[in-house]
Amino acid sequence: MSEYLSTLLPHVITYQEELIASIGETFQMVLIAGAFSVTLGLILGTILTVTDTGGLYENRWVFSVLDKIVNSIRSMPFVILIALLVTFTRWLVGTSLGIKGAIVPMVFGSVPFTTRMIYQSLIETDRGVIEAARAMGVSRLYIILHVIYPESRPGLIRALVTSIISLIGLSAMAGTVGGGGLGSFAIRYGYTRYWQDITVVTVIILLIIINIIQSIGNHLAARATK
Amino acid sequence: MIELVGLNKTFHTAAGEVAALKDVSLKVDKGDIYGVVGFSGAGKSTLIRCVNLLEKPDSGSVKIDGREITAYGEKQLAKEREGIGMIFQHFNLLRNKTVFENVAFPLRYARKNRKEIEKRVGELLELVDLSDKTSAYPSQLSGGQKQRVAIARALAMDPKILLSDEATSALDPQTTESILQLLKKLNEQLGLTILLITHEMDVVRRVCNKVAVMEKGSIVESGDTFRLFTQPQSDITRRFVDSLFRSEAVGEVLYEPDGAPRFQQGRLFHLLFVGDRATDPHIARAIRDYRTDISIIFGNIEMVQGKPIGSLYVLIDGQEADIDGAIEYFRREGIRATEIDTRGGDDL
Ligand SMILES: Nc1ncnc2c1ncn2[C@@H]1O[C@H](COP(=O)(O)OP(=O)(O)OP(=O)(O)O)[C@@H](O)[C@H]1O
Ligand SMILES: [Mg+2]
Repeated sequence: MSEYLSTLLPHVITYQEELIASIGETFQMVLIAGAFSVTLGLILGTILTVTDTGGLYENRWVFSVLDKIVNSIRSMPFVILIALLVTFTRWLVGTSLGIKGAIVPMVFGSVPFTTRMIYQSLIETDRGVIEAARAMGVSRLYIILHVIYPESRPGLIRALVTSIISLIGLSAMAGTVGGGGLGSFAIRYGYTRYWQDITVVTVIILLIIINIIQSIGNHLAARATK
Repeated sequence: MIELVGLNKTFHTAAGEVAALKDVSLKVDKGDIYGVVGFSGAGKSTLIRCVNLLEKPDSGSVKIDGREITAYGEKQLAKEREGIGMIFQHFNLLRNKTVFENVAFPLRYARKNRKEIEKRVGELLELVDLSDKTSAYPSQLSGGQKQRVAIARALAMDPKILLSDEATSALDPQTTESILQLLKKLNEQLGLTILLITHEMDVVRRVCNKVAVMEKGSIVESGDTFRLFTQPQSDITRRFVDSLFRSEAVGEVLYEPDGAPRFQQGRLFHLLFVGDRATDPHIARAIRDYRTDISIIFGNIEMVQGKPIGSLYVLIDGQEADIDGAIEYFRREGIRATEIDTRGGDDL
């Protein structure tokens, strides 16, 4: 069995320890960047929701400025974003390389996307339910926390999952320009040395991870839908 | 209890200005079930939303128990709103929360302790007859049950006033009846003052002791329900009252399936008899004294505030002068007689 494997995937077997370490790095990058990105996305998505027309803190000015910023960062290619952020990243975390260096642009790359998705699920909240709470004399902050968030739970879960999956993609891309993780592993061995088995196995591993996260997400979202 | 004086509200939309309220005044006394009827777009929702200031009027005064609330700040207003429950056409329940949690929502906000909440929610669900649905989710309930949950939630903070915006409009007739009975019970048992909005005269007839008719942002007529039903002053009120006595059957009797009138002779009248008038032999006298032929096309009786109002569609034939005389006679006797143009085949 192992003999068969080592003829089929010679380099993967040789570099298996490094491969496993890369998987760990990818998880680390995605989780740390994910935590930042979801937190910021939730804050910004909430601001967009409540300042939108008819919102609890309607404010056309705040809404359109934030909306424009989010959209312009979102439409920027990630590689260019990494380049743009090099100086900022170095200043913030001391390096633009490795896991640390990758996380900063990953957060920037993912926040606009996450914000957008969170905004889209929050804004779906039935106006009537918010109105009913207003009629009870409930404060606006309480409505955000106890009406809008709980009512949007399925949408929020889906936004979270999509955001994590997009971060896995970004982590691989960041890997190609000096970050760590599976991306940089695939580039170093699969691409530059043309060891096809490494590329294939990396892709398969990514697909498996993404699928597992997606199914967990779907399951949770379905359970949250009442 | 509720006193609205000179309310104005204009919406500025891309399509232009919409005057939703034009100098509207309304006084609801303690214990009233006050109905506001009007066609779609008349401004009913805008009016009721002004009572708890979900909509801020451009000008005018809103007094609750004598307190002018239009100048209130957010905190004070929130406090005031606790004393005013509100229910809606589409129930507006929290989808992801159980019946219990929906009713508990205002109590949790008011930071009541767990014991108190359990007790109060229990009482409220008992009151609206839903004790067996405590842990169901709104999606598992029928429309009527959802509205009961909404009513329980609206009553959680023990309000003195309940606002109801088309609360039965999404329900079938039987469910509507049961919700109206519930509102009536709350009015009688808890002394709850209710302001309710509807476009159905039938709802007014069943539960309201007072009613206002709205058209294009203004109140055209208001007062005691029975009086308004029996002595409507304006065209629109008459139309609303007639809507109650209108019947498909009348049309079928009068017209062939292809729309041609069945009767070539005589004139069609709608007669409304009020209270004790109903028992006098008016028709017989009109036939005898005015030498007319009167055939009864369709008749029914509706109870308004517990008093009967009889409705008859009659075809009167004879000399023009005699027909006019008979109608004169009916009117002298306090019977409301309206002629219906059968040839035109217009709306019955
Ligand atoms: N927020 C708003 N912005 C702009 N126009 C509005 C707004 N709310 C109401 N209107 C307009 O004001 C008028 C009165 O509306 P309102 O909802 O009070 O009518 P209504 O009598 O409740 O009608 P319905 O029976 O259809 O509920 C309508 O012409 C409506 O289009
Ligand atoms: Mg309305």
